[in-house]
Amino acid sequence: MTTVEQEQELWERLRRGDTEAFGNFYRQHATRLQVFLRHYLGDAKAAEDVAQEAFLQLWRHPNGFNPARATLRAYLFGIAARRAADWWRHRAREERAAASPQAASRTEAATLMEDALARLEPEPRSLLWLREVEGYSCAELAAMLEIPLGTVKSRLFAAREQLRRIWRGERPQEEL
Amino acid sequence: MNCQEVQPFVSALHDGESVSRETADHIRICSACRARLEDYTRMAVELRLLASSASEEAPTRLPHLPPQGRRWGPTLTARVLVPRFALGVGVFVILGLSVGLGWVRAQSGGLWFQFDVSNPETRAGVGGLIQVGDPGQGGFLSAGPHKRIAIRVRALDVQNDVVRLMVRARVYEPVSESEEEKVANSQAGVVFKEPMDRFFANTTPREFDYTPGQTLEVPVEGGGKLLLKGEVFKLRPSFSAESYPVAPKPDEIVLSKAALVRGSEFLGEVQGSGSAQGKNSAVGVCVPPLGAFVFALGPFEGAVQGVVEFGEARFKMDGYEYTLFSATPITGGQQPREIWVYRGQNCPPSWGPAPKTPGMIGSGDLSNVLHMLRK
Repeated sequence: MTTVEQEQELWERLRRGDTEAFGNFYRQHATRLQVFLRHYLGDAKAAEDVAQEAFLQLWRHPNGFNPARATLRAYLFGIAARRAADWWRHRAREERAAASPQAASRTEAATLMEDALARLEPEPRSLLWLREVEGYSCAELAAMLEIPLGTVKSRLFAAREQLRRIWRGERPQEEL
Repeated sequence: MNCQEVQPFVSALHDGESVSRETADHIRICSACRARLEDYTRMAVELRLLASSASEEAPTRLPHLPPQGRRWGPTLTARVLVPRFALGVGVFVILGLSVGLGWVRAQSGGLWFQFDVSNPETRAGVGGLIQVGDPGQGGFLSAGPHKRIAIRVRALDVQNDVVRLMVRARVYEPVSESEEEKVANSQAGVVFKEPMDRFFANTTPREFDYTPGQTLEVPVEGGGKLLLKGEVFKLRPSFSAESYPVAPKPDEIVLSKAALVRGSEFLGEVQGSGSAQGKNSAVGVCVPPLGAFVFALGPFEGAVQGVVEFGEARFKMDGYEYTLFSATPITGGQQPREIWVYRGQNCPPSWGPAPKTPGMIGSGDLSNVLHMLRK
């Protein structure tokens, strides 16, 4: 169980350059972060790179974190989301197309959702993922992504509507 | 309301927020809106299933860690938590005039202005939420040992991201002896709308073109100034994350946009916020028609023991199970931990014979909070 004091202590240890504390933090969150980034970026290799960059940024500049605004985990996901947005901005469309998500052996429902998700624009895709999968509240997302709370809510609504339209369109007729 | 107006609130409802009665009534009977809500739920489940299958993969290698960036040392960068309320030293308590202010139903298309007002002399601060264009009949009173300042804020309109504000701020002078007694004898209390209306009627309004996020210095009639900082929201924000500490101390108790639930019955959202730090710290709230609840971190006569875990406190009373939710952790230290709750049959007499909406009574030392119940 992580208390607010433990969170504060962890941050202090990272600021002091405690590699053991950083290693523990990394092992605890690396996989979830990469899963998030894989869906955001649609590229497993890029997801790994961006995740590493996010961890390294946290390691190099731990003072960017404000414990009064969010948890370290939320801060990490915020860094990753911004770096992933940069990745999208700087990659050519051809590269993105070539790096479409690899099909895995999944159930039909999972594949439908995965495909629907992949058809969303990157930003609404990441916002939905952070809210629905990672469980961040709207206020936490506002702090993490540095946008107003009202903007988070309106974007979430828009993202849900986009995903819903795509998802319903792809489902077999009898399920509608 | 029609479906198009209600749609954003369906999303908000899915996120766990409460919606206005009118909106709820529509969703209850509208099959299209209910289908939308059910789809949102199913989509969330599918997304989590998707994540669960991917999460089983092995974690990746730890990156090589280079030397950390240049730092100026803990001395210069350490964050210092300054007590928001100078408990035990001065009577710097925020008197929230909850009646009327902030208790406006969410309406589609309406903008909201959320702000914090602080007194730089006393460091006392209070948060407020008003709807743009609303007459803004509420007001706030900041009390200190030397003087009390009352402020009323109206957001007239928003154009090009600039908010036109009308602000009245004046050193508070009660219009009657009974009112003076009510304020002077209490660390915190509620000043009702009517006397505040009379007071503000004699206060000169000032208009400001305010850019959200900046700090506005508001001159106070009678001397001094207040600092105002706010943001505009398209939907009604649920709470201001910056108003209260996300990491309270073990001897600190905080209620921030709290809501009380009895069994499965939602008793209401508590207007206003409050915090107290120190030995015997406590907060009191009025929840009509049940009466007054006092929450403290230590046992006291008449109180039942409950459990608090971050932003949630659970306790049993009179055969019911209650849950108190707060937007930020209620206290610090190892969680879960104990909390003590007392219920008085009535809200303070100063609230009038039949208060309708839940609100903060006050915060501070337990004995003072209990004393407030009788005022």
